[in-house]
Amino acid sequence: MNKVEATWYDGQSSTPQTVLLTFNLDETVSIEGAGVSGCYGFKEMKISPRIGNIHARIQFPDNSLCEITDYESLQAVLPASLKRGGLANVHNWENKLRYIALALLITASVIWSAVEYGLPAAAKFVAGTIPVEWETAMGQQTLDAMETLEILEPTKLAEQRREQLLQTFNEMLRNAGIEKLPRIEFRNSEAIGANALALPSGIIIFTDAMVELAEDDRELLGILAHELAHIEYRHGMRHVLQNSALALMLIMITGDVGSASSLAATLPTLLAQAKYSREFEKEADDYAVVFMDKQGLNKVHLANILERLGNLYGDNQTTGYLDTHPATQERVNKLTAH
Amino acid sequence: MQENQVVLDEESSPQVEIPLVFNGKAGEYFGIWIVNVLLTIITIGIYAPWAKVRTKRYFYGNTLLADSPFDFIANPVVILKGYFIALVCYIIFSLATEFQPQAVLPLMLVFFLVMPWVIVRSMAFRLTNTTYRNIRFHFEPAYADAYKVFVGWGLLVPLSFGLIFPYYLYKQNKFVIDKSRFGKSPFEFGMEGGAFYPVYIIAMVLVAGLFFIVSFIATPMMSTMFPELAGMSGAVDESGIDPEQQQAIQLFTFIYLGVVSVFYVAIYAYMQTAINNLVWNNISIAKQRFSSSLKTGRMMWLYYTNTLGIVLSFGLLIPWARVRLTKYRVSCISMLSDGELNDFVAAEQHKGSATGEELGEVFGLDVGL
Repeated sequence: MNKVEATWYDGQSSTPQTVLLTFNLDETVSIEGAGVSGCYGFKEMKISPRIGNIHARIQFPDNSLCEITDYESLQAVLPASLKRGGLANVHNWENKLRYIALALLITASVIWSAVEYGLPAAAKFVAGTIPVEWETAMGQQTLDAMETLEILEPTKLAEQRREQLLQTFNEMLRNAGIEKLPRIEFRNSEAIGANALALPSGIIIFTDAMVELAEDDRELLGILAHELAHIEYRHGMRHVLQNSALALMLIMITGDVGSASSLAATLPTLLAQAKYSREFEKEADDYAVVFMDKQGLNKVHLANILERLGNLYGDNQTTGYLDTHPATQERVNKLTAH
Repeated sequence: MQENQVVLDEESSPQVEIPLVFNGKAGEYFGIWIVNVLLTIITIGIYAPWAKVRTKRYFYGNTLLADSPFDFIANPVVILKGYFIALVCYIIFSLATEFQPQAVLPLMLVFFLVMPWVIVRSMAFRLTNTTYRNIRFHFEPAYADAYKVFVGWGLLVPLSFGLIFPYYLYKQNKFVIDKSRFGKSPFEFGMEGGAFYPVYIIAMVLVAGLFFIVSFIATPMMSTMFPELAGMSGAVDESGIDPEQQQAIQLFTFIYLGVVSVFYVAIYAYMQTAINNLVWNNISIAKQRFSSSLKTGRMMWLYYTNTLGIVLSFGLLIPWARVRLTKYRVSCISMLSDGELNDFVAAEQHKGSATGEELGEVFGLDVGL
């Protein structure tokens, strides 16, 4: 059998005609039906690739078309020379359980390794190629925005205290051979309480509450070392790059799927972003330990102030998946381990 | 064969109701979807246009009107070029947001001015590649009208404090539908200009109700139960918060957000349903009309269960969610016809570029049907 039933359209009107398609040995196909007849060479026609259970369409050069409801019946009569390679094979993967399972497995591992290693490594590389000067506007804008929103307000610390701290800080930074000294600022903040921030382009902000929380200035040096790590490692830039790449990847995967799944995509995005943030914090803690060691500072000072911070905000128990920082107790344990 | 019911319409001329049928299956689409995702990821996105065409063909090919399927015949290579341009725009926009925030406003202005052009290109590309019975759909590239609607009326929306928004939406729909053709036959949109107003008034009343419940019942209740919460926004005192108390607050916040989002989805489903029905019930082409009978309750149920399913399955139920939503939406639409679907005639062909369509997708523009 080399015949198959099809619905034929001339391309001019929407009137369907039932026809019989015959695949001849001389590499032509003939169309016969009530008032319809035609003959085309194999090379002149275009057969649509198979997708799920949908119809096959065979397009002829004069814009006429045959639709065959059951692709299987076409497949059965199609001469070997017309069975296409390439994309035609995609259907076989989409269609067989073992390939689907394999695809699922590979997809999951590729996504996992991209989120776990690929994106962070790529972001680190790209950040390294971007000059720090590019971040100047970014850092200043962030600072301005935080001031406009009154997240940060002018410091209430005595000038003498500030001068003395700056001197201590800069002395340590110079001893450590830091080439480009960060710009250190003090700000009062109701909103974020005792905290220190590293903004892009090398701005470090200590809140008044943070300075007051310290029982020893060496504790603040520990905090400074931690924030310095964020700057040295370009964490701000890497954060931006990583999160944009993550968003792009999710758009790629969920594609044109509609609002329900873009809502559902919010949670994994938040989880991954929080995880990246925790990794940066760990990296910064590790840097701080090495830094303090070199400067002959005992890392117990950093542990002390972190512990006090943890007690103050009651977040020192365990790390949650949405936390942007590791649990304080974990950080303190790590610092006091050796 | 279809079972065509003979119904009498207002002018008591006999009409046949031809239902639109969707035959897609979640299991089958899962295979297509997962292979698409895999190939897209491992080719760093280059496969995306092929994935898109396969997906569209699967959904169009499974949508039947009077036993004939729809088809999507776009060339993936054209879409790939569009994707590339869209990606470049996305990168420029992201970089500007991060490094040159003062450039964002001018960029958005440019975007606003280019948008009508993008919409027209995107509609033209989409429709000219959609076929039924070997006849292409078309979209008339009426750029001047597009600017009138999207820039002209669009600017009036904020100036009127949003009061003309329902009318603006009507203008958008009228533009998109009136400029669409199937072969040589134009679509016509016969809705009254003010018909969206009742929908928006009801939605506003629902939103006001939700706002009332939140601010006068739920929030006072919450702050009576957890007085500490009132102090949360200010400075935290030295004693800190009791962890058990904190957990209770978290749990309560969770339930609270859950209830609010349930109401939110309900309002969204109501609007989608009402607008969709209004639009479809007012489209006609060559004496054929359409009828759409979506139900708000059913749409709400689909939205909730789809979202829940997708979250709980880590995204694996995306194909299932998509198929069942499409199946329901399609099954609610039917054509009220004089029985003659054979007389449509093809128009001369001209090709649209994919650039507009893909730009529209990256920035989340979605107009029309």
